[in-house]
Amino acid sequence: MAQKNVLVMINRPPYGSIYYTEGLRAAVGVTSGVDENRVTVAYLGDGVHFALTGVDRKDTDKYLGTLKKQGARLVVQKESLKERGIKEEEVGEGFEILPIKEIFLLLQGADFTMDF
Amino acid sequence: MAKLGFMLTLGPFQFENWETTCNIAKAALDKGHEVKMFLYLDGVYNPIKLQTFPDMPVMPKDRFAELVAKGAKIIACGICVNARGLEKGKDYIPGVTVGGLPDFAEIVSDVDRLITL
Amino acid sequence: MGNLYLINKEYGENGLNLASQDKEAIVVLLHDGVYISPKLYPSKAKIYAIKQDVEKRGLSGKLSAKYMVAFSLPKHVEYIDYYRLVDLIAENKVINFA
Repeated sequence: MAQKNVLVMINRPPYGSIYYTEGLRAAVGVTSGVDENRVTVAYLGDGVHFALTGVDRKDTDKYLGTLKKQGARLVVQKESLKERGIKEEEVGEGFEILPIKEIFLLLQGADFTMDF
Repeated sequence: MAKLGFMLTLGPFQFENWETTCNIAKAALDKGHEVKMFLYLDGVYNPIKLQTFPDMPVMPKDRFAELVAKGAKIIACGICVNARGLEKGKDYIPGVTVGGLPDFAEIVSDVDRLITL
Repeated sequence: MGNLYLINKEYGENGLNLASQDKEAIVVLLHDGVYISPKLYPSKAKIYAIKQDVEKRGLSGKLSAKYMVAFSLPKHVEYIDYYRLVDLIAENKVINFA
């Protein structure tokens, strides 16, 4: 048994499927054990739509709050925003915009990855 | 030998993920690796013993039973189970237990590899 | 230990984009992942596909070396079974996109 560093990658946008919120519930769940695993959440491809300021976060606020308390980073792929015509100022507070090179470094530093 | 962790989020019949999960897990067990699996979201529909479907020679639940018989530890997410009216997994095949995300956290701590399908 | 990218079709492109950043990427195409256009394969990666997933889709010849040449790609897809996949999983870090 050992503490693990997990990169949770969310690829699907809200709200057509449940993954945008269940992915966050799983991310919080990963940190709930005695070993206090660490998580980072990365929004890739269509998943970046979740970071838009106007997204209704009623069902995700509690998970985001818990992750914030634990110091988990929420990162959004810069290239995916650009491809979708989303301006960086349209991204909500608490999300870090990172180019794929840096997201790859997060992947390198993680023990495990999960995809939603 | 390695410990392999799995998280399966899709149900039986409709998508191929359950089958790929069983194929990888079976090959791993045959090679002497350990398998720990967490069924999440619709993944909890897989081990229901009442499955019948004349078009398929082997039911998904039987593939999961085979994994249990080979030593796999399989836990289903209790919130997901009850949300789907599966009543604490009362119709599950023997050997599959109902737990929660802290059990998944423990799997994550314990295993050497994590595969999510 | 390298990175083993497990790729399905739905958002496999996100995984292949990350694999393109990776000098030693190993890619395994699972189920509908075999339908992803070879144009998106990372140029430096080793590419595998599950033999039975390819065969039952009637794609055996399509992912052959000749087909890759048609796309001017200098590599081919190697077909493997689940036992070989388990070896790759045991030897590498799994990057999940399936």
